[in-house]
Amino acid sequence: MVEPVLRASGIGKRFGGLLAVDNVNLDLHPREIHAVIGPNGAGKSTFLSTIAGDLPPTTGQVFFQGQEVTHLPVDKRTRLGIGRTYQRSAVIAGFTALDMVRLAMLHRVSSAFGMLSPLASNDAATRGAYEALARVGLSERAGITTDFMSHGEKRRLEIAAVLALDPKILLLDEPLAGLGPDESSAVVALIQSLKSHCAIMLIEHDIDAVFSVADRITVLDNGKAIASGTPDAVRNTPAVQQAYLGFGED
Amino acid sequence: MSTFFFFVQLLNAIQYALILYLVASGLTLLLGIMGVINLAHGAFYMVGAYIAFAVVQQFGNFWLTLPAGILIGLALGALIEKFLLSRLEGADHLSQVLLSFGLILLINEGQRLIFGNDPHGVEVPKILAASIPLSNTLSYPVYRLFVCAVGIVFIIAIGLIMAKSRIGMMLRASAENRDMARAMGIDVKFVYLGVTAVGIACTVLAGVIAAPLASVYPGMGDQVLIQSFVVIVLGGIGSLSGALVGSLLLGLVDAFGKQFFPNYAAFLVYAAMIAVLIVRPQGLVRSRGT
Amino acid sequence: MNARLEKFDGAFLLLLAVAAAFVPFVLSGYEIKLATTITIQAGLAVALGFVVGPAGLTSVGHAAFYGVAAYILAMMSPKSGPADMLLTAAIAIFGAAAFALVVGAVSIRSRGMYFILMTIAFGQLGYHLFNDTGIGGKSDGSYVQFRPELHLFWTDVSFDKAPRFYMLVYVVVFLVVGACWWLRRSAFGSVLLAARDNEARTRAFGFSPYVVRLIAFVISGGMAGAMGYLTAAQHGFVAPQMLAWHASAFALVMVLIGGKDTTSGPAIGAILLLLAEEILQRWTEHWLVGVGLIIVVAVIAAPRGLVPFVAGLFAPKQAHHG
Repeated sequence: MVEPVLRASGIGKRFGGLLAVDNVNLDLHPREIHAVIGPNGAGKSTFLSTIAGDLPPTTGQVFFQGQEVTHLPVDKRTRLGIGRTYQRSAVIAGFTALDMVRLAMLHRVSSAFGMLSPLASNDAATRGAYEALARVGLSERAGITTDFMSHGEKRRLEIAAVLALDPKILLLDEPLAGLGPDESSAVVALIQSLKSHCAIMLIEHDIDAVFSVADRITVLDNGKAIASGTPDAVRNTPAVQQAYLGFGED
Repeated sequence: MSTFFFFVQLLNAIQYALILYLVASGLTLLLGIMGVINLAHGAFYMVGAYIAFAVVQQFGNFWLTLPAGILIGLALGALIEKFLLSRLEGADHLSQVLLSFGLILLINEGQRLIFGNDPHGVEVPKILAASIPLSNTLSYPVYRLFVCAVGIVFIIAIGLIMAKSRIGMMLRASAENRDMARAMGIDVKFVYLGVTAVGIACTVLAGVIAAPLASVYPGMGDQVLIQSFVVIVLGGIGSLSGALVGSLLLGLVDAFGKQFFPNYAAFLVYAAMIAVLIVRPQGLVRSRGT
Repeated sequence: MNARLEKFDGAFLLLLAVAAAFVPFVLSGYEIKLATTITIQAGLAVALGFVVGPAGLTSVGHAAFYGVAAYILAMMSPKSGPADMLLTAAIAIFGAAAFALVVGAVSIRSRGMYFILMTIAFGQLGYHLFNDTGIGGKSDGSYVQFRPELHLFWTDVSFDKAPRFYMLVYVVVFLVVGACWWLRRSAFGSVLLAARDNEARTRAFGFSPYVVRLIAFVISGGMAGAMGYLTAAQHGFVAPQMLAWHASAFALVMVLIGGKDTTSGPAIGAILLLLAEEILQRWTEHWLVGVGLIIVVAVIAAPRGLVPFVAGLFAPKQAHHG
């Protein structure tokens, strides 16, 4: 077995009296899509945030490529190669799509001195940004200010920006939420194609999508991991059927 | 330091703390419930002191100053909310800072126009003019005890209102969640009007009762303003009980600091605020509305 | 900032630069001194606007950096002759920037009203440092007996004559304004704007909002220091009031009147406010009433400022976007 690119061990997160995540372990291997599913309030987003660095875990450790990153701030983790999207669209108001993706390119292609020149004059950033926009089908919309984009476009733009970071692992927090069927299948195909570049941890409510793309699935319920394994194995776990799948599609 | 001297300083500290609390409670309600940062609060304190001066000069009766201060304070607050603050809803703190700075300039110049630059004294009412002898050389003025009494009555009153009354419930609800309060049928506009009016009236009242303690002079509110902010940061924004604790702490630092390090007393106050914010960048207590 | 506003901003700056270049040739005596004061204050406002606008930091303590640099010149000036300009200016600007680094490092961790209160507290700390303790002549202030001289290899340049001092101020202020204009358009400026709008997203792009804001704050603090140095050199006098929060608030007013989202806005705000002040002062000793009214009306009527307002007048009918 290859060394996992990400290892989260014994992650716990407590908010006052509420234990939102309780001793969760998760490995992410190269070229793997590992989905985390569970009912609303199961602690999926909180768990993802402890890995991305937005929330420090109360207990446990996070290792990225063998290096402990448990207490590194988000920006440092991004620079190491951890990219994430947010559950709610996180585009930057007042920026064009192109500029937002250029911004994401910057830390790879710009020296400190390069920060002094305008975004538009950074050729490497511009080239990379156009490539990333093309991959999510937004080439035509490059010059549009984010404020004027539809919800689906904003979601795809955010994915383009994260692709521009060229992450080694990608943390996707409900990338399909609020998308129409066409957009949804386009994003699923995109996620599938990204597998060859980076490992992906996917949080998603759309069960059909999850079972079609995921190599492994971890099921969270009340903050605990109640099952983990291949889609088939998870589907056949009685605890999962009781806690989650039995309640129909979400 | 003799016991009596210490006792007198302690009383002074408490008396100053109570005045500070009157000012800070209004400021903390504005901040906590409306999210408004009002730098003109110290100027309203000065307005109170000049109201006391003008009323005593005109009518020769100190007791008229209290209702006059409260009524003018309520009216000023209501006007400011109605015509100025309500137009800033959704604006950032920058607008609030500058609006209140503009008000400071207007109030300060208005005061100079009417009363000039000289300091004035306000006579202590006859019935409270006595002093209680403590030892051969030390005595304590009755008027200071009266100030303490007013402060304590205020604490009890506002505590009861916040805890028991419908208005208190509305205030706490509005502070907690503006939209929720609106959904519950609370007239948030009316609450804001009330909070601004009462908050500013408290400060004006503080200025009125503080007037006979020392002279009345231009810019007298500056120190009180900054100290009230320190009190609020110490006690947590929006917390009345926190403001009380903060006031007492600051009263002690001020009274004893002035005795022991007269040159550094002001310095200490700011250093205290910075120290608190270094440890807790978002204030000491985060409770709101109580 | 949209493209149209950017064009207007550039045009206004160019206009100001050209107009200001004529000052020593068309004005004289008192008017040149007034123009000098206004130009320095415009520089201060532009430097402050850079942190209030893109960095989103409402600093009510910038007068402290301005004042500290002024005091550094006063304390370094010999009683017997002019100080060395390059040396004193370097130390004054460095001192102001170092102070800004301390204030910023601590304050930028706080947000919103806590940041405001923190900067007020630091400013007042500076005010009391000079007002209450023995440093720098207490509340009476302190004098700069001789205007500093520029020592070049071949000659010494004196700035005792008002037109020449104005030209020095012109060069320094337009360096500062030009730097702010450039920084706003740079990738660094874009990161600041992104952090202002969406802190989490910016962090997840690999930037620390704290660090970029702190860098902006220190640059701006150093620039404010340069303006304080020029003020002390112009008037030959420094006083604790230069550091007090009232002075900081006054600079903020200039920023707001012109518009914090442009470089030219704060400069235009400074010019208008100081000219209004000058005119009101000739009318009445209670001119501050007028200033107070201007502020209140500006906050209520044009909270985005004059330059965006004017640019908006020329806007085409809102085009429809997707």
